[in-house]
Amino acid sequence: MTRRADRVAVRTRGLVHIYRREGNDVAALSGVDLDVLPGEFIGLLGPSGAGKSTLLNLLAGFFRPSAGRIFVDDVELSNATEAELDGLRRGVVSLMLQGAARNLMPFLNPLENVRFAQSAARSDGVVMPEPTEILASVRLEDVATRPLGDLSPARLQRLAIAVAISNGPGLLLADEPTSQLDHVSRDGVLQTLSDINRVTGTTIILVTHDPEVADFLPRTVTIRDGRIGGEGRSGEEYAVVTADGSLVLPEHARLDLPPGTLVKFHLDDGRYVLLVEEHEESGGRP
Amino acid sequence: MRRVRNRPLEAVTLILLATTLTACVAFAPLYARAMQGEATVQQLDRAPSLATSLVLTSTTTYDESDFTSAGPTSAPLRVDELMDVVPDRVRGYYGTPVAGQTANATVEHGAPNSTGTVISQPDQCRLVTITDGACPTAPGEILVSDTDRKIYGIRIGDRIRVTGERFQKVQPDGSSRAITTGVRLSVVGSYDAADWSERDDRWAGNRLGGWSGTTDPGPPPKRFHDAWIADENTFSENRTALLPAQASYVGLALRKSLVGPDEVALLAREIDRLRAELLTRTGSDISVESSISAIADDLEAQAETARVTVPLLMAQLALLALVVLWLALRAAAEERRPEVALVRLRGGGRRGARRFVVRELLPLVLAGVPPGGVLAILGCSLSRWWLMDGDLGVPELDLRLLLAVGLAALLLSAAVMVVAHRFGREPVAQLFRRVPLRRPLWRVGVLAAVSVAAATSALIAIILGDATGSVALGVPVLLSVVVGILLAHLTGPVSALFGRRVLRRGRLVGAIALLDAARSGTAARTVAMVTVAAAAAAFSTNAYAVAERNWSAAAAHRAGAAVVVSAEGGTVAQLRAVATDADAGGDHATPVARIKSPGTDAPQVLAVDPESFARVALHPGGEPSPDVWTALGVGDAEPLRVTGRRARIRVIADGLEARQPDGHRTPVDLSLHVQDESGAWETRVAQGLPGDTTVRAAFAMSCEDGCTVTGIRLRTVPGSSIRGQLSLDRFSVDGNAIRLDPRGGWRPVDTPEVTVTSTADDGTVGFDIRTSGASITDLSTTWLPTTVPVVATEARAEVTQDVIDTAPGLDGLSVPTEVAGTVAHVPASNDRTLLANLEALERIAPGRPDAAMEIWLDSPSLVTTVEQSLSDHGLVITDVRRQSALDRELRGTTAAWSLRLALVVGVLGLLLAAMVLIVVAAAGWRAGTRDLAALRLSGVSARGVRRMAVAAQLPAVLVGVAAGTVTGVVAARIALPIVPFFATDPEVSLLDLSTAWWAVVPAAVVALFVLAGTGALIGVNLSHRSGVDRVREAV
Repeated sequence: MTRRADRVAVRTRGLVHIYRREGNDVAALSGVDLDVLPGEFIGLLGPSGAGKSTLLNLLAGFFRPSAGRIFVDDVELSNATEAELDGLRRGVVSLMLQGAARNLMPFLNPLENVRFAQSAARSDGVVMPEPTEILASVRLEDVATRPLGDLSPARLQRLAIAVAISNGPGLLLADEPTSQLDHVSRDGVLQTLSDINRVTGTTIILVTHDPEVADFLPRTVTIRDGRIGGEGRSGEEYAVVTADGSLVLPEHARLDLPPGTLVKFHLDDGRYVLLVEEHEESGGRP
Repeated sequence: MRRVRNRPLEAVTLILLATTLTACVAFAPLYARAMQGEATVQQLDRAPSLATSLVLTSTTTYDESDFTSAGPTSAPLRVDELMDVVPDRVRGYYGTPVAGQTANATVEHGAPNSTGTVISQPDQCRLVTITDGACPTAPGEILVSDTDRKIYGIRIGDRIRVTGERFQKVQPDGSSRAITTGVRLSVVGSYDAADWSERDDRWAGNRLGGWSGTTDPGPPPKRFHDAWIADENTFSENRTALLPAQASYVGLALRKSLVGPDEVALLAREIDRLRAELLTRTGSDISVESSISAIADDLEAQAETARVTVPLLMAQLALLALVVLWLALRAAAEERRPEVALVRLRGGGRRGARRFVVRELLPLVLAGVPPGGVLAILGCSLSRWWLMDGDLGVPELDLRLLLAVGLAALLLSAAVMVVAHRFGREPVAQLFRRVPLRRPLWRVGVLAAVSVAAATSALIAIILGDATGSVALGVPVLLSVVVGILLAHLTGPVSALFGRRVLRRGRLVGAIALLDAARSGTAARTVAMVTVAAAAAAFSTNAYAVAERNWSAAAAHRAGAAVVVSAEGGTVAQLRAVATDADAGGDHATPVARIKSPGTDAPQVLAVDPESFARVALHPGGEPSPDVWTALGVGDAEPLRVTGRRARIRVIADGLEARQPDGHRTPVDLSLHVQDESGAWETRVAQGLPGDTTVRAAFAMSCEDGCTVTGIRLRTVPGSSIRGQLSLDRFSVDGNAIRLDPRGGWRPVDTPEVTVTSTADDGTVGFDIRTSGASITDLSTTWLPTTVPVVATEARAEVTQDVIDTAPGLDGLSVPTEVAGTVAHVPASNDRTLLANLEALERIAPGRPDAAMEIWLDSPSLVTTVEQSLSDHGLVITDVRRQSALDRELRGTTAAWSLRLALVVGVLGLLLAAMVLIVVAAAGWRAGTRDLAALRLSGVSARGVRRMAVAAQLPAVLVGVAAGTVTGVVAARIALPIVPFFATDPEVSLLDLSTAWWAVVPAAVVALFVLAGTGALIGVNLSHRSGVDRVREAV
């Protein structure tokens, strides 16, 4: 039987991750609540150090959260054993590291790289998709046996994708898959991921800096200061109310509403209107 | 092949290291075995062939419980019967047997009045050179030696009657009476016995020549004749009279080329078993003569040393190789960090990661095993040739080699497993880092703590004496492991401290070097490994230099001089003449008589000519003070020399009377003590001297060739007392007047029994004598010493509190002595030996001494002259002892070969340490070059970066070499007293274990040069790779 993981949902609740290094504690994530539906293709946006990669590593089970819970396909990663995590990585969750080369064995050709990536799952007796099939799905069948050094950056990135999906994962986590690519290559990679999402139903969470990439994605989640800073859906930007009822203002609104500003929520004809209380010195604004 | 193609340098390095480790492990049993083999070869070569051969002798037996009976109780076994006694298992190791018969041939009445043996052996006439007459072909026919013919005047055709066997003859009254038969032997020819004056295995160890004219002290004393070669039927039982003490013998010469260590052990076992069996056998008396058991015991002792030393030394090297391999494996595993990360990323888990690392590295290290085995064989062959002066052939290969190679494979596999296991334990997130996190500077790993604890425990065991012998060779590595690990852990914090200080002073290069050393683990590893390697180099160099010094000293002491030629059969005067013939000035040759008393602890005396002995003898334990030789002098008393046959003397007795206690007068006889080279005797001058009388005595002197009058003797009836004066004058020999007042005069006597004073004037000597019950009164000239000054060793003097009042003289009888000085050791002698003046002892006991006689030479160039001269003077050479041969012998033992191996291990250790530097640098090159690139980026010039890169390598090397050298020297202090330098401890220990700085300092300099040079090259290489683009590499 060829394994193909079911569509996978992701859910995090109050996710906190603190890096402890030589007496300095740094909170990378401080209460992230995120829901990703099965078969969704979303992008994680945010500035450097916002916690995007940390979140991705937590979802891949590489880090244990300092607090909070992570559910991947009903498996709670925060409590999962190392073996359970390995099991997940063999067929459910796949992480694509930033930089294509880091995902590939430099001395193996594309076909062998795919076969190598499948070897762990194969050792369980599971029948994997044929490597040539996988390569064909990312349009690399013609370079299947070429040395990696001969491949262009775009092809290497597509090969990295092929390797990542070689086990037929239900969840694909991709860290900056389009960085260091030109526009054409970038679009090609995005199209490949989109095709995978569409054809296999694989849930894809992609980390990116690139606003143009974000525009391509049906849903984006912006991480800011270790929290969900907003969501974009079909080009619209939304602030997200978290489980504790807090709300992170969009970047542009922060300039107008400095810390200490008093706001009032007013229900007007079925819509909430945000009223800013006039300050005695600076004066309030509606 | 892909993994080799992908990382060729790494693959080659790992294979080479695995090869080295396998070679080290496999070399140990091979070398130990080769040492045993070579020791066997050398031991057998050095041993006289008679010591290695097997001689069975069956003798006639007598009933010893019944002294009244006569005649043999059983005849010896026939030769063929005797051959059957030799065990079949050992026969193959011996050559064609030599068999024959002997018997005693004593002429008691008639000519030649002598004793000796008669011998017969098939093909005997082909062995000897018949100089006259023919080969004996009939019973009773014999060949005598040319020397016998000359000395005893035997002619061809003579019939000699020798004493035959005694038999019981039954009397008519039924009683029995012992009768002695006679056997007549006919001389049919003569042979040259000069070639057979030593025991020879062609005659099964019998010595044919060199006997003629020498004396059998008896009783009764009798002169020996050489062996008489008889027809074999002379021994037949059907003859009417039998030769006495008949014996049959079988001699088997060892085929040394067929014999190795195992065979020697087998032969020893079988021969010991045969001896024990023959002891219980009745009906025949069979003796077994072979020294193979002693040789086997010695070889076993040496093998015991080899079994400990070689593995211990090679374990040190293997340990170094293992550490290098470990570092290389870790570096190789680190290189695979991204790949392992991918394995984990794709769900391979820890097991998958481990499997990946094992699959990558194990084939490479196992590929090094077969070449390692081959390298061990080649190394062993080369070492045997180089270190043991053996041949270059393939060493003996057996199961032990396979086991050792298997052990190496196991070790290598274990190392790979451990590396893989450590890697598998690393959290996945860590694996994505290009460079692993560094541990805090002060943190001590479990492995390091365990190593220090184990090494310290082992060291304490050695120091407290729980572990001894060759195990001591493990001290340097244990001590250096402790020091190395401690230093390694101190390196980081101390370097950081100094680095910051230097930085505050603005010295960038030094500061960066120190801070880099503190930050990276490479400095700590380098310090640890360099310390261990430098300690091994310093220790082994020192140990070898100390051993060389001690071997030379021991050889010099055992030899006594450059060459010592031993002889027998002559007088001291002849010995002195030989020395004078070789070197009249006494600068290069000196005569020595070695007097041994019976008993193992009895003192020996080395009688020497002090003046020439001081120049020729070797004193490795410390040159004696010149006063010692002066103290041994005989003084300047003049001898009373006479030459001639007829002597005259006037004896004036003035009131001289001897009375018994009851008042009866008794006669007094006067005689002279006279001696020459051949001995001493007494010549009677006058009889019945009492009263006032003047006697003009004439008497025979027998001093044609010159004699010395050493004293006079007055003899009376026992219990009588003598009183009165006695004067002697007008002494002449053959008409030549002799003065009786030589320089030194006459020695007064003052004992409770005898009081004698003497006066001498104008050739006349007078004595005032008072004795009380002494029947004999001896008066001597002062030329004849009464007490001999001796020089004792310091050890002997300490034991005896400087009181040694007697020692054996040249005739074996005790002479009074007094200690006149001490020396550290007496050359070629044990510490119980005394040095005495040969001339003084000769004056007391002239003639043929009961002592071994030797000519000591300071150069081998005089040996031929001395040998010729000894032969000319009728002395038989028994041995030639050379300092150079003893030197070689001492250096040809497993103890010596082990120490030579230590030297090689020290050198290889340095090379391995250099490899450590390279491997450590290669493992950390990515981080190192990135740091340097960062410096370039911040504006430091390429030259500055190069200087920093080189300087960063040196502190660890300098500290390691210094610490290692000191550790090696300290280890030597602990270990050398228990390291065996000799196969068997010499009887006299001249051990000097002080540090050989002349060897240690160059070793440290070489270590520094090699390792600092390697470090500098690494620094230059790193700086070349530190382009600014390195900064962009992700961490």
